[in-house]
Amino acid sequence: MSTLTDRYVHAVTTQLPAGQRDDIARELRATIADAVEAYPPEDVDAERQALLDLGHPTTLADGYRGGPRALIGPGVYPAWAALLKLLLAIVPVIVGGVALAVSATEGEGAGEVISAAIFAAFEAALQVAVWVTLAFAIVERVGVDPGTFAPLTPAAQWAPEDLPDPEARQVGWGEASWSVAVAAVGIALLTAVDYVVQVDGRPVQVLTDLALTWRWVVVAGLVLGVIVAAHLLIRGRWTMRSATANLVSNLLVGVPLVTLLLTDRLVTPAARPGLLPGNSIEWADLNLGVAAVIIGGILLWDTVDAFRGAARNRRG
Amino acid sequence: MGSDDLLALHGQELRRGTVVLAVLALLGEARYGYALLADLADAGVEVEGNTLYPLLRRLEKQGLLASEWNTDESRPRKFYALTDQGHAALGALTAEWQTLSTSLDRLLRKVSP
Repeated sequence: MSTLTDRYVHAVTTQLPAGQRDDIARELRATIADAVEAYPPEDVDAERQALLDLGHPTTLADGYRGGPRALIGPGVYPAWAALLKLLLAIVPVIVGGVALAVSATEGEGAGEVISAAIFAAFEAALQVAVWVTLAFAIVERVGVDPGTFAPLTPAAQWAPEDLPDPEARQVGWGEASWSVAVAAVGIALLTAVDYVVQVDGRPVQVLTDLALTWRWVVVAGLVLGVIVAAHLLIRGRWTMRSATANLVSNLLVGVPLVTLLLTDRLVTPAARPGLLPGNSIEWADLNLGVAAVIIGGILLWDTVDAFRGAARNRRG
Repeated sequence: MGSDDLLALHGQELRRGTVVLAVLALLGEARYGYALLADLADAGVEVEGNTLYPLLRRLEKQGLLASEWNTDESRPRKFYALTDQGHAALGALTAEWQTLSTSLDRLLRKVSP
């Protein structure tokens, strides 16, 4: 059986980086043995008391590590919590609604339709929590100095008038939150919904095989977009790095989407009648080229806007 | 927070910065962790083990201390001692402490009735 010291040393060192464990464990054992020896030899409780004197293992491990660990640090926590609350209020409702509409067209029973909607909403909520947390965890590690919300790099030479004007936040909370919300809805719709509808009682695949494969590129672009938006929320301003990441994100989203629209390979021919209610509109009447140009235009404007913002900051 | 807790907290804050100076002062000759803790206590410097032991490693990482395992005795122990940089830091911090102590003494004498 392990001694109390074994348990204590193990509890401390498992919380430390592997490279430091052995040396700290060895020193800790010697220290505990020294402390036990300082008690009178007849004291049977000496080992226990020596460990209590050392304090809780996690406190000691925090000391060795130089502070408690956190996935989302105090600096970005308010932004993370606010955004998560907002998205959890919006995204599951939209995705649940879409799932409700899709499964209703399949002519299933009410119970199945509702359970499909609840399942999709639940899955969307999970996705939101995972991606937002991941985005903030990444921003926390690469984008922001710990403990500062709008990071200013300390410099020996500085003047008060160089400090950023709080009024000059380029990107408001609302705007950045919305772009995250749109991306989150997109990710959830692309990953949580299976694109099958019923046409004349037979299941028909909606998206082409090509589109189903390329959606993962779009999802990757949207995830990158969430990271960029989280960075924006925290800094409130564009930087060259975030504008470049935004460009990559828009390319990943835009290129597959525009290509599929222009070549009309987004929706399978078999599913087309089922998507358009009534006989008033034919698929051929839909102007996919215009849709492609509008999407491409929005993404291009967004990309240029980001770079202009970054360039302004650089000059400013 | 009660006033006793508050007082304890401020007292802790006041002592915190002095621990490094006390540790550097005692490590002119090599000591191992527990012996240093005991010597600090004898000298009237209150410090917890879970503060002192990580501090030793931090000071070593900063280059102020060097450590060596001594396996001559029955129990192998890690001994810490000042490096050249540590000696320099001890000198600078001692001067700073003396200035601070003089200033505060003067200030407190002036305001106390």
